[in-house]
Amino acid sequence: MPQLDRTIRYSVCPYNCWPVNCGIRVTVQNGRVIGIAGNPHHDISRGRLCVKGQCSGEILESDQRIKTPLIRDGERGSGRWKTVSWDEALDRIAGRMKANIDAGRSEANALYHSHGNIVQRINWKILTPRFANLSGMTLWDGNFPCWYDVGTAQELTGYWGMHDPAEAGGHAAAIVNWAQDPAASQANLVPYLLEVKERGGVVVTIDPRVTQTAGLSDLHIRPRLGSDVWLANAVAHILISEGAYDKAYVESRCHGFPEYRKHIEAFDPGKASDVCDVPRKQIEALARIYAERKPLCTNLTRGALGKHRNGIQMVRAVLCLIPLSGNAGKKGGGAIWGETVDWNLALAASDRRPAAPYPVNNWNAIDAALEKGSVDTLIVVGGNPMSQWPDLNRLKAQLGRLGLIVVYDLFLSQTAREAADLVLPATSWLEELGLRTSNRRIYLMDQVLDPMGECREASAWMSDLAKRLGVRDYFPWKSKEECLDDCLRSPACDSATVALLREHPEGIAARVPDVPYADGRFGSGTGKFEFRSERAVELGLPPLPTHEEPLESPASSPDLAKAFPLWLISSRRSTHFHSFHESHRHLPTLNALEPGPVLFVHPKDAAARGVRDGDAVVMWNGRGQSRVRIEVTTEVATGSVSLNDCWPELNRLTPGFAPCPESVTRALGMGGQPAYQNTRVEIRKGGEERP
Amino acid sequence: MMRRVFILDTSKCFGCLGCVAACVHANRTPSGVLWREVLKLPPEEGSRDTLYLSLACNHCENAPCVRACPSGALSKRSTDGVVLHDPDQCLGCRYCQMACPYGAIRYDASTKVTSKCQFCADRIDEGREPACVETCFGGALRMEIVDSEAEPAEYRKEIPGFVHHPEAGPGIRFLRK
Repeated sequence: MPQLDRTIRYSVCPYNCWPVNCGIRVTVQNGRVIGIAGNPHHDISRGRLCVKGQCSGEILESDQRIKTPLIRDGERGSGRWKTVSWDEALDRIAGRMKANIDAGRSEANALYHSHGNIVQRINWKILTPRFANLSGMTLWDGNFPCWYDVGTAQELTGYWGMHDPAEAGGHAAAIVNWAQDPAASQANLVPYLLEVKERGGVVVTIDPRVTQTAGLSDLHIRPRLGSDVWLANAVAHILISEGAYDKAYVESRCHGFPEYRKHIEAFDPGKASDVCDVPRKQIEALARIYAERKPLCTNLTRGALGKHRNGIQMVRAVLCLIPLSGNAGKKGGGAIWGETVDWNLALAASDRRPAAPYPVNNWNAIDAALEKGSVDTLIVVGGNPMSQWPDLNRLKAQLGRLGLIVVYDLFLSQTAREAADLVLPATSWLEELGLRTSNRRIYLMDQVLDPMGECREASAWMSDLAKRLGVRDYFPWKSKEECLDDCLRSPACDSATVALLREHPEGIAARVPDVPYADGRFGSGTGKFEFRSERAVELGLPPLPTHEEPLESPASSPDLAKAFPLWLISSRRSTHFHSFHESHRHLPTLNALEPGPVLFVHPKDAAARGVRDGDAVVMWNGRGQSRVRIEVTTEVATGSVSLNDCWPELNRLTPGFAPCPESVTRALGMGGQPAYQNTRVEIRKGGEERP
Repeated sequence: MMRRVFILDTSKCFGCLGCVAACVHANRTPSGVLWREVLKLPPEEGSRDTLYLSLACNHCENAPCVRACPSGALSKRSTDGVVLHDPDQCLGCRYCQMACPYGAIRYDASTKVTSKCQFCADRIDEGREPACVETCFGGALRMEIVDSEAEPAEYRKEIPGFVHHPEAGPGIRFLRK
């Protein structure tokens, strides 16, 4: 069969998983994509592609894609739309934005961008912030719901990890998945976990749920929700009291150890066993692993721990174990983290944003701005606030008061369906030229297809909108290729150019250290790893990792906890990537695999309420109610239920509270994750229909 | 007799569902039709007894679907025992679905015919692995040709969550540490 027009192109998967963004190999025939497979030349994914990545091709020709700009033709949420031209849509947006600027309320124009925009790393880091900065807008992004309190903890210790999973697979004697379930959310890490096991190493998972990763682990510890400071500090207690810690490293490279050591004395393993509801021998076994298995790598990739009232402290407590056990700056040790290659970030023009009282990217500030009406126009770029942000009923009322809501996306997301006035059609990742990196290499995301219908890439319409606002130099480049070459002018990107990248499906090496922090220099004020954080002291945060009970717990609010006796834990399965494109609903294969929200309930809790596997239940608390089907399973502990995130049934119930003060976000540029995981609910039988 | 079987090492399957998607895209099954599924058995004692079972058509030795098919759409290949389904000959009567003890046969209302895993016959005839096997991250799923008279002792025919129907003779073996 002649197949002369068949070509192979390379790109990177459109999902924004961390720490691995897997390489893909695209087969194109007659201008259509006929196959998407893993890129065998990718340094970390090595040809593997998970269920989501394999289904990404279903995005391209989906009949559910938005193909033209749409304007609301009825009440908000009515589902009635009519098509408009790009010019008409942009005129309308510019008109409203200009009115706000002319009224001296520049900050009333807000832009929120998230995972759909992260796909093209350059949009995320440079071209979208550049638009918001030059236009003088409030800029919020998907970092805050995702991982911002984790980052705050890293910033406070001066240590960001930066190791990659391939290094762990090749060198670690132990890997600790602390509140991470890579088998469900980042399946490409699993071969590296198995590699550690095959070499005789151990895999540990710390998670209240029996996760998919827990099933592959040699040790699974199930601490009571939010008790991780006690668990980590008790491990430190054992290491210090037995002298089984790296004294030389702690003395030479760390700051505040004497205070930490004194602080840790109170975290007796026996007491920790009670507080964490974990057998003492498991805590001792974990300490043995930290003491004896070297190097030990911690997988703390993303934000699960940050979604607690005490998230910053929990992450700090876990980070402190890394230098204490002599694993900082060691090959195969450290902590896994995804982003290590910097672009030419000066192009984001953050120094050129006109002065105005912009609410910072912290949930408290966002909630206050929406509540007070200090924002009028919200442009959502590849994000989905109604799926991503907490306390949905409150949020709905807030969004309802905004003057203009614009959503730029591939599909009609929940925010587009229920709140938007204008919808702009987005290009898919194969319809524009872009870039992505692994921890060590830079990859081209080549343009493979013409944009569908009237879809336009973000920087193209932002350029037209900027011009309408009087900003002439938003896109000073002659072409996207020239633009990307400029974005690549950074020390880490070295001599990479688009033309060169196009010749290298295996990517081009970035200039990054072989082993992160091998020189023992940390990003803190003292240049050392800070057990006692001086920055925390300045910011009014606890100097040492301290325990605080979760919101709504029996200890912190006994009456509420009695009325709502179950913890609602948000979880992740293989089939979806939280808000991103709502792809689990719009793509047939993923939709078939997870057609609706399922609440996982322990048999004892189910029996106590007379509900059975498959029953429809009403789940409620003071913030709202949801109807879901249940699966009865011992995967969740008694006293807690779990629901996959992204379903609106979850965020109707989550609390709109972020523990990190706005002042910290103003100082550090991060922090402000809502305490999604500190949610109490009750369930009862009933509710056959989903609302 | 030499026959082709799936081997599933349950200690390496972590329920990632990659095999399901690989099957859909390699075989271009109709929208939302999944030939392969992953069953989950929640833990009784501890995390490590959680079982994920990646299952599709078992290409049975005495395939009940072949016997039930009135049109000859279903047939058993003599060379390696693969059970093939020919949609062009399928009447859409769904007798095969009723006969299959494993619920492995799908019916698509849009095309009005049944379909099922073909063991990626086209691929294996070219010397390649079935799509589900090729994609498996954990190396849990394999394809093997075994001599049914002399199977390795560690190949289990039964495992919790999977009902062995000896009269059908399913072509799947399990490994469990």
